[in-house]
Amino acid sequence: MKGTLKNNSIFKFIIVVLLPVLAVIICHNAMPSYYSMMISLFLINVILTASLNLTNGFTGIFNIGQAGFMAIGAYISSLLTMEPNIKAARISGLPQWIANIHIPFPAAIIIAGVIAMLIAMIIGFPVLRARGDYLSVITLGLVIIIKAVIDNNPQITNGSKGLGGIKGYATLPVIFIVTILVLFILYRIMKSSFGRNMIAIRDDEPAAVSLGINVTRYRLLSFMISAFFGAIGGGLWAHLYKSIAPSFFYFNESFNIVEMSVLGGMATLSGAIPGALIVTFLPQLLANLESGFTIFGATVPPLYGLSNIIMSLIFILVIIFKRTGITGNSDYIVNSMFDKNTYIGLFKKQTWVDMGNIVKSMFSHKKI
Amino acid sequence: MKKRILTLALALTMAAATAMTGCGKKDSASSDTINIGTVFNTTGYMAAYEQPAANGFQLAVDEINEAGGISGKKITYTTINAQSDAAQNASATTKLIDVNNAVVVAGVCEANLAITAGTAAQDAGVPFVTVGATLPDIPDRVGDGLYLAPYGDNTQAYALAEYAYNDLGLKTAYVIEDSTSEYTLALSKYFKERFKELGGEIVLEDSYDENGYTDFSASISKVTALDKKPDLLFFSSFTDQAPIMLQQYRAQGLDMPVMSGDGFDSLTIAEIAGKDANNVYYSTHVNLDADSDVVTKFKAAYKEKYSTEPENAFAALGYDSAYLIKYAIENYIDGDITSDSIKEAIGKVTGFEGVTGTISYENGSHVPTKSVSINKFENGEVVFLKNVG
Repeated sequence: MKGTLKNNSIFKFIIVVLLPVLAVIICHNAMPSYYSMMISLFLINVILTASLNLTNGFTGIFNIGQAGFMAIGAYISSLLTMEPNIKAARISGLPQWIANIHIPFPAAIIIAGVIAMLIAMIIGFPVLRARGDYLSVITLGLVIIIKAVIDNNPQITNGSKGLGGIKGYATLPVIFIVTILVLFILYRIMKSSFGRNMIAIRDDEPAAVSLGINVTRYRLLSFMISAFFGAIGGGLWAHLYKSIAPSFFYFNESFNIVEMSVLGGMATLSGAIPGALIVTFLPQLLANLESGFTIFGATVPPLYGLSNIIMSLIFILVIIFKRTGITGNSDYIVNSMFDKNTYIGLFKKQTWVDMGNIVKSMFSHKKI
Repeated sequence: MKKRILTLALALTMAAATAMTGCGKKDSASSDTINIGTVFNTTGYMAAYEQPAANGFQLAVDEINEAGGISGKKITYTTINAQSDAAQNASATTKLIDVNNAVVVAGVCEANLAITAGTAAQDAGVPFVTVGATLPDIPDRVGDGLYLAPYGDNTQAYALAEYAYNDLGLKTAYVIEDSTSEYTLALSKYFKERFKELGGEIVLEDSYDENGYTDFSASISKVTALDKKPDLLFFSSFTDQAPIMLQQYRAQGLDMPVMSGDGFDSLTIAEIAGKDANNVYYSTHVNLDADSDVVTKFKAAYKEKYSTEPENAFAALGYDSAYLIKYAIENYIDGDITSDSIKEAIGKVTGFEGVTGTISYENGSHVPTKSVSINKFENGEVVFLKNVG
């Protein structure tokens, strides 16, 4: 157990800490901004997926309405950070007091998160009485309601025209730090008795009730926390792309988040990372194939929609062969990231000796 | 074993993804080519418009390169499918600029997506020509680098209102709009404005707020409940809804003329709705039945390359956008071809003769002054009626 590669602190440190940090630093400083934009989107997707796993994976509320909370976060935070004169010029009929609000970005996304949390609480009371499929349908309805509210209140949200002129506060370093913070908070929640109670509810609700766990309370709280981080993700999204419209946070986005969650593994926080990685980057790679290409002198015509087909194939394969998602039940990535032993281990002689043995044994195996 | 293969496959995918993000190498732009990029949403809800637009653009690029390029420089052309997704429109534009070193980017036929893509280009200081988004205030909302290749919605809605009132003699109208899109909202707004100015009356207004809306019975019963039926039904909506709307309205005996904007420019509507699509008028960017040289030449070339007639006016708009960029560079740039000089040059374009009409950017406007074609569906075919403006 002790001497395996997977459990070696050096290996853990390189894979989950050093490589990501290096990737962010290099992409931010030395690469065209396209790469930092893609990594930013990936990190936002990690936030959205990890927060969705809290409800879908841990408490067994199959929420497919995360895009609704994203929309709330995006709109509220943008309205709070936009310059008063730009706001007044873009949105006709905006009440003066809203136009005058102008607060720093970090405060704005936290306020947006808190409002989303309160909304989740208000709708959570009636909604969380439902179970299973019914609950999923209700959360889907939530997406429709939120979009309808934004569409039909143009004096505040600018309606379906969407909002432009948002400041680009969400740079890659900012998003990276927020992502790490969000993962850390979720990790602490999962390690607390609160988190264990949530898992107990998912695994065996009657047993959990018999042990005195207040199911409704835990389900409601996890729904609220998930909404909070969903809104933070939405706020970052808005300040990354600088222009938002209600149609951007609709079914497509909602299902995208669910897809990442299911692909990566709903039952773990770590699942968010491979899930978001595949859904964010793979279509980008496949897009190159779509516009047609030449291989060994033969020209392949444009195949529009190819990436959608391949993505769905991967999805189907994962569902068939590994129903628990890529990470399954192992929370290796996030655990190694925040476990203090990963860092302490680096300074222990034993770790380096183990690492040496592992490397040696790898080579000696090859000889045989 | 299965598990291992799967793990291996996934690991490879992830490695490939990481490699792609990690090893981005900037192609050095050589001075004898011009890098042009386009973003088209060839899948998703904009596919009906943007596939033809992408084909049109590609055709023009091939023609230009065959004829020796722009000012003697060949075009290095890259196009990306952004899948009708906002984030992908922005990242595709950024990729074209950063990775493919595009000096000018074109594409996108929907207003909100064009704003997202245009904003990304604006931030990088690169001009963006929207091939088909007709919302007239997009340039104001994005910045000085954004140009429209088509006319604005105000132009087409005014032309429709005038045609309805003056040519068809219709005095009362019913308006229903898709309230989720900026395009449909603008179209109905300008139509109502002009129709009332002319002396017409809007007897009833209605809206629906979802892309996938399929049951219009509630709206229809409001119309049938009116004492005096309107002379005209104005549907401000996209292609996907059109056949359903036509069939449902017609089934309730509402067989008065129906009118819409370039969102109705798809023969699919007539194919699906059949005879219910008769008596349907719409405005669009080009009369593809015209005898003019430029139109016949475009149609023949398109047919030869894609073995089909141009699906709709967006094919012509894509084609024109490429030639518009060529025209601007060849006629209005003396020195280096850079993003800045192209940005200025497009603004100076006057009298560019394209398939979709003459494009001129007058008085510093980024929306061209162009003529509007009014067409009609008749027995599954498109009939050209009139050019306005």
